[in-house]
Amino acid sequence: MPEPRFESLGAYLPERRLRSDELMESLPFRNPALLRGITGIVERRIRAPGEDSVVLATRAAEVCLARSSYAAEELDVVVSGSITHFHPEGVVRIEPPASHSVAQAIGAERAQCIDLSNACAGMLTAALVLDGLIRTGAVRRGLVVSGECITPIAESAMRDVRSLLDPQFASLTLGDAGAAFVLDDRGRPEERVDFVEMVTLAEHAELCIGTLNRDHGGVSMYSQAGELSRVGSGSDFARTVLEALARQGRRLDRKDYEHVVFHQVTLVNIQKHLRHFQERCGLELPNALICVDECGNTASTSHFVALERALRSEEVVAGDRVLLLAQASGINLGVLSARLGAL
Amino acid sequence: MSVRIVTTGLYAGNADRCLDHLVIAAERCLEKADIAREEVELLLFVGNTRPDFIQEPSVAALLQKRLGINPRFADHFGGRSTLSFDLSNGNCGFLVACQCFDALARVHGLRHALVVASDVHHAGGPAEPFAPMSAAALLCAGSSGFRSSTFQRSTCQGPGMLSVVDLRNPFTACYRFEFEPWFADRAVELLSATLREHAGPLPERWICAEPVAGIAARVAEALASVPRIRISTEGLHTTAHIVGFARHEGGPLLFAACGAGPTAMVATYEE
Repeated sequence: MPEPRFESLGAYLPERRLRSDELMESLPFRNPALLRGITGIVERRIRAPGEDSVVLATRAAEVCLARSSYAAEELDVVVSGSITHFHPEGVVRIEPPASHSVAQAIGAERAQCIDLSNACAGMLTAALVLDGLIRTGAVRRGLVVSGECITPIAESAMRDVRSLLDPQFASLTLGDAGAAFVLDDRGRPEERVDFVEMVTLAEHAELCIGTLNRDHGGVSMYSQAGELSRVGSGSDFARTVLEALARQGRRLDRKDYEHVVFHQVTLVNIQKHLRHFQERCGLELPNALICVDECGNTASTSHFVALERALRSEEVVAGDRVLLLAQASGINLGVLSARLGAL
Repeated sequence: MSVRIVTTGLYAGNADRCLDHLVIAAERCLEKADIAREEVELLLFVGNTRPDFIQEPSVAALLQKRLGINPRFADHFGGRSTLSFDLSNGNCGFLVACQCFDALARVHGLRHALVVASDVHHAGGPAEPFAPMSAAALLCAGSSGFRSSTFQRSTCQGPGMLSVVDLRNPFTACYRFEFEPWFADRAVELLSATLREHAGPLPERWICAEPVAGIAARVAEALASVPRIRISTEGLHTTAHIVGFARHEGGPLLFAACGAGPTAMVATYEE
């Protein structure tokens, strides 16, 4: 059975930065440092005019392919995992699929196009699907891509939020980004995807819902943040991850993994995860990759934006083994274990 | 691919809400199956229209909760797990779902998947121009069923078909479908080319999911190898393949679809 590996990785962040204290100035809170204080998010990136979900995804795909040994026309499949499909803002595009538009833009002329949607676990779910297609020999190489033009949801929240308890408050953490990676069938012990596993605990499916804002239109995200944090970051999450690792004969420690990447919700959330795992494992935990402080929560792209930045700063180097952990609305929990080559 | 359709469930009634529509179709499908619903390990929603315009979480997760398919941590820790997510690939969606299930079944040892499609407005009415219909299919991994699939994508400029949900005004939020005048011609060319490329003899019967009426008939006129008998799926979009299969009386079958892009996908099926 062929083994997949990460062959290339790229991300795109819009130029414009918006600091949390600037954002808070437009809201009725006395303390402009409040958002930064409770989330650890210093700033996030904001799309330029014309940068919609497909454009962000395409920019990331171009960066990824520039580093790849494959040309776009050699790709067998393009899989999109975006949540957002604004085109233009307030209008959500359904067909053609975003993967089709990205494939068209980069010249992936013979690639099959697949769009899937699984909240902030979209790119990891796409990795799971592509991993399966490669292992079964259905395809040899594919591009997973996501463009999250998600700050329109934050802007909607800025119109509505009046208190910390507002169900849209969590939307203020969002930032725009694109990310893309190529998986191919040339995995070997030095660089490969070890395994990907995901599960949906749908009992909690309604804790975070992105839907029509019935007051002023557009899409808003309504979260029961406290409950979501309890369920998504609690001991059941830790147990799910540790059991998945145990099935593969692995542990969450520095001997098995150099780095761990959580979904970049807030810095506080990641620190809470680390405490939970430390309490349960009692081991020396892997280094946690973090970009949420500078990029905000970039939804389905967040793991790969964090990984990309760590690769470019050489915090992650060839030969390192990384564990990507999904927690997303649904609730979806998952693990992707991989040893990385020179990306 | 080695994926078999075990049972189907359809609903074209007047349920008040889109999610209710989906649940009724899924329940009808599961009632006919000889497995417990806890044995569904993958739940995929492939419809274009989403209950209450929900963009997040997946509609599949909402369905999983309503259907009570392993929704709790306790189920997971007890050894029963389900993964749910959405696929948005127009009327190729069902075939893409079969393709994804086939890969995940072979790698992760999954046995059963539930695929649900719908073209119903959020309030339960029709998503014009398509007929209001929800459809579900229970899939089983095995040695028979779908044999092979072929996908092709046009490289012409523009997708030819655009479907959007316009949420700018909360009082007039709606789905909108638009077609370029050239779409049908390109779709006929692409589907014909895809059928020519598809390996092996074609069965006598086929289901063609076409977003514009007349495409399948024109392909049949242009290609002598096209199956003689077409199972009617008039007015249907993402539900066409499941509904067509439910109307099929057995024997080998060709599934074909063309959609925005234009794209085309065909697959042969034999039990």
